[in-house]
Amino acid sequence: MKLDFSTLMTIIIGAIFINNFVLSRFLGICPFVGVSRSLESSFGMGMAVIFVMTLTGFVTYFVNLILVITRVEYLQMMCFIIVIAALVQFVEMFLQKFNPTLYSALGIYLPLITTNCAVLAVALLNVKEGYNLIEAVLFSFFAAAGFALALVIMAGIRERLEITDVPRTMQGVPITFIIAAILSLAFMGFSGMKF
Amino acid sequence: MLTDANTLAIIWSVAVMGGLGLVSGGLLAFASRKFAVEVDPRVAEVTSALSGANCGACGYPGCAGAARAIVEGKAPANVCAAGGEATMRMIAKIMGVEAASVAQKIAKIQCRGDIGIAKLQYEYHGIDDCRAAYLLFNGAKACSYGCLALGTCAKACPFGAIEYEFHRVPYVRYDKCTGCGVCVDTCPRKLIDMYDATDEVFVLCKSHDKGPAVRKVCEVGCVACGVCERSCPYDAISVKDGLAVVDHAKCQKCGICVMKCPYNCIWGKPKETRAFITDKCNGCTICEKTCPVNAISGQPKQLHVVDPERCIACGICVGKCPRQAIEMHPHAQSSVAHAQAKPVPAESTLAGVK
Repeated sequence: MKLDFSTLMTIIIGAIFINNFVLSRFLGICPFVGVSRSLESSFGMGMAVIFVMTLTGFVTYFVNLILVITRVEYLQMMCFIIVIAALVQFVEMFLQKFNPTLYSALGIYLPLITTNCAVLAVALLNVKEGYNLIEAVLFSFFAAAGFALALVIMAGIRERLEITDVPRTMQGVPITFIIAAILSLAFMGFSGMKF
Repeated sequence: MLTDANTLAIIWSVAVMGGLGLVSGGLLAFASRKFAVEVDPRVAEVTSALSGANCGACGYPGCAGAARAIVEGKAPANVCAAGGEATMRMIAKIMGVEAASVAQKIAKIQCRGDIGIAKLQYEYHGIDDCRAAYLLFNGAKACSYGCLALGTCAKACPFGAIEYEFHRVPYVRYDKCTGCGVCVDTCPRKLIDMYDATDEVFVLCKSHDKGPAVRKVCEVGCVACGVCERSCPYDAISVKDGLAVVDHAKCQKCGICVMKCPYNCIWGKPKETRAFITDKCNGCTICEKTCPVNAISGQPKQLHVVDPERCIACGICVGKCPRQAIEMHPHAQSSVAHAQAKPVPAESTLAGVK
């Protein structure tokens, strides 16, 4: 396994900013709009996503190895869905038993993201980019961190929106979409970055 | 016929998918046994009693979260305002709580000073939100206890029970208020309190200022004159620290204080009944003398009559009549509005009788 520092930095910066999951790849829009109402809950969701995505990146690497050996790579998506869903369920049970504090901290967000497209995408992208184990785990972790960052930024803006005079027709989800679009534009600014 | 490569692909894909499914399933089955956490069986029962709409009005993440909080004793049995009384009773039964302890509550905004009736200390041009206005010198109202009348509570109400017109004090509708209490915390001036739904008389002012100071800023504020205290036949209202306070345990909802208050700051729920004198009356005139609003008239030894336009349905005469000749009957609301629009002067009725 060859580790190049600059490659890793490219993966990290790329995962958080340049190809931010929500704002550049438009993955995981549902929790992005749904759970960004308050900073507290968006932070909880962000932590849960980081946890699940990192775990997914790790486990799907080995699942993919099995698929490559048996030459059935075309089953990627189905296998990943099964594995991720089972894994999250398992982790949830495990935490409930042995770490109730963490379980209640992650709360409802853990099962919510079981079959989220962002989580599946991180597994598929790892394969597509041909990352090795360390790169895959790093990419998964920082892609999730990028997701959490976008979510927290959005929640901060929406908390301010609560006390502003939004036109009646725009209140709620419509204004949120407009804000999301502007945020996305801002993140598109990173796309010219080269290393 | 299948070629070797094809057969192999089919076998492998079935094996891999089946294997993964089997391993995952086995893992989960194992985990559900091994890591099973004993959960209070009441949690499941309460969850099924709740609506399952996951509206979040209770402040917990979904109905399951609320059920857990109820069973753990963190939330009262009536936490689900959306479910109403039926849900409340079901949960109270599961939890073994007395149904009486889940009495229906209603919110009451305790101010009458619409902008125009109560004076302003400056003109506010900002975000239409009481909390935002409150940041600016405690709001535009000159009275430091008054409603800012920007309708933040009305926007917060999840059931549309608070009616708000621009720059008027919002009004809580008895028929729609579920008593969830969401509005209470939204009011920066703490003007909203929860009362039992059976309470009907409220002092709609929270000003502890001295009389002249209140009059300077508001036409409908309580100046602690004590008229209500003296007129109440049940000792249920008293002036404390510059403000009239109703003791709801003693209040008989007669509505005399509502009528007597010279500043109109006591509010009573409009009555739907009126006193009615039956044939049993022998004209003893006791009712005529006890009626606080002079609504009863009649000659001695003859059948007395109640004027429904003036009767406030206080029920005092019902208790005083020695022959039990007075009953309370439902009365159409339209004539109440009529009575308010065109008050009948006291002399004219008396003259008619003479």
